[in-house]
Amino acid sequence: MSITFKEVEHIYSENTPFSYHALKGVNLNIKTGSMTALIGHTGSGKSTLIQHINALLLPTSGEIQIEDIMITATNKPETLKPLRKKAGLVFQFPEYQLFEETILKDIIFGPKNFGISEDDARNIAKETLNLVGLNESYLEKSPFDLSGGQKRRVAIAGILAMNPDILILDEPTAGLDPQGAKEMLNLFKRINKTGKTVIIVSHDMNQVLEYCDDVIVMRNGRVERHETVDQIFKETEYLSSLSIDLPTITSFILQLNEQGFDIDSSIKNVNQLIKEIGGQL
Amino acid sequence: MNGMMLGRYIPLNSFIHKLDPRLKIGALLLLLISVFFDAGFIGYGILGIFVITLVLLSKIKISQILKSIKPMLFMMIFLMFFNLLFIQKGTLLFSLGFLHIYDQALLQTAYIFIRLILIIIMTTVLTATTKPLDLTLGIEHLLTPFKRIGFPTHEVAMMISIALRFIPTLLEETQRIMKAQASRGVEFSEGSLKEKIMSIVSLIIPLFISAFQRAEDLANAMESRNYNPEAKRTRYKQLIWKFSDTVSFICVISVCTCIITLSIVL
Repeated sequence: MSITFKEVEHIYSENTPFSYHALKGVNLNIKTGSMTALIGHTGSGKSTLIQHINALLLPTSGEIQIEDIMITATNKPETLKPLRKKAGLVFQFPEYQLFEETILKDIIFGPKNFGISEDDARNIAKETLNLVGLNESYLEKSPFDLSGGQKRRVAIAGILAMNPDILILDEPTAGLDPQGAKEMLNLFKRINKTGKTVIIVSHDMNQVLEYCDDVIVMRNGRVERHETVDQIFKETEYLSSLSIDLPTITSFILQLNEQGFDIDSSIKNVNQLIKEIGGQL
Repeated sequence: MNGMMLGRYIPLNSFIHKLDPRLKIGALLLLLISVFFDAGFIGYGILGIFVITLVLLSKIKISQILKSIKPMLFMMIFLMFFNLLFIQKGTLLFSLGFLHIYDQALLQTAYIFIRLILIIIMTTVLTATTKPLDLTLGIEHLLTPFKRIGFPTHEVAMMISIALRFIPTLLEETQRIMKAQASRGVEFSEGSLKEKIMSIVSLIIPLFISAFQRAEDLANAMESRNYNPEAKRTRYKQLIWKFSDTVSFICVISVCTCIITLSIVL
């Protein structure tokens, strides 16, 4: 489902001494079924931007079109509930949103709010729990007895259980161990392959290169770039002006090329790179 | 909740902002006491003009003052309503079934209204012009004499400053959790009573858990830096009593004396 931003502005606490202009004239079109990374420094407006997609924040001016739903500054809250189901938003450190006695109850909380029957919700809960890599024995446990990483999985399962068409994740792998992070990203990629739009806020360019199709770069409340992963990592000067490091593999290829190699810098995995080097040595 | 003004510091550069926090706290106490002296409408006129001058001097916008009154509005109307009905003194103005309104009741209610408004505006001026940390510093200084009788001045000041320090953090946390639960389909403003209770539960439990977690983290952090409440400590920020503070203090004293004399004379 296509997401379109048209001249979206957002100002926090307008007309007070605390007012803050977070989004400035944002124009965007995120294609249905794409996996898009949102990158930029803290305070560049990433979190503000994603909260507009499920209408937690309404634009100060401008409009956002999500399939057939239009969000403007004057929207009434009751027209927006379908949007919350359509666009599932996983906040940073989502483990803070757990509150039920058992993991089962916590996962079915979202689906039940959107009118899915208890029995159906239970089945969905089992499936999603498996999806995030926990087995059914966890269903009756308290979410507060889990480790940090497991809590994160349960919280993400709580959003996945709502079966959203758009999945938005704000730094979903922050604080996870490398293996856990990899498992999570593979899961998001699988979800993306089923035709869902996935948007990930990330600071890890290796993840962006490996998993995403498109990249949106934000700076000071503006969208500065929206292009494919291959294109963006060719703009080395621009990225270094943002002090964003290149993915390890890309920077390695560029260093090789400086020494006289001629390797395609859009290579994304190590095996292919070895082959390429082997062919030229 | 973003628009909440009550008790919020507003960073401006005004005469009132620069005054010593000790003076501001003391002045507030004196003014609060004199609000409760019944000096008739002349007294409230004087106090009113004084408070308006304070607001103007502090450069705070009138709209922000009004915003700070707003959350108290319900309580005020509630109070005034009962006052109007239950004070049965003076002459009967009119009655409606079992409801009787007396002229004294009307007068008392007007007084209560004026008092509450004055109190809210005065406290708002204090909190809006004084940084929370300066406020605690002032309280600690003012409480020093009680140290002699074993009152734990420093501990109390520390508790107040920690509490104040965490108000914005907890508000932020509340908003964050509300948004997270709203993403899961909770509507905090609508629904049946049962749904409303459920939505509050989904907010309160995570909030408590994170608050306890924070408290524990803070305690550990303080302990690992060897915090000892009894230790003698110096301060980076020194309170300096200036000439303008003396002048302001004299102003406040004279207004208060004026009110109290008026109330005795009348």
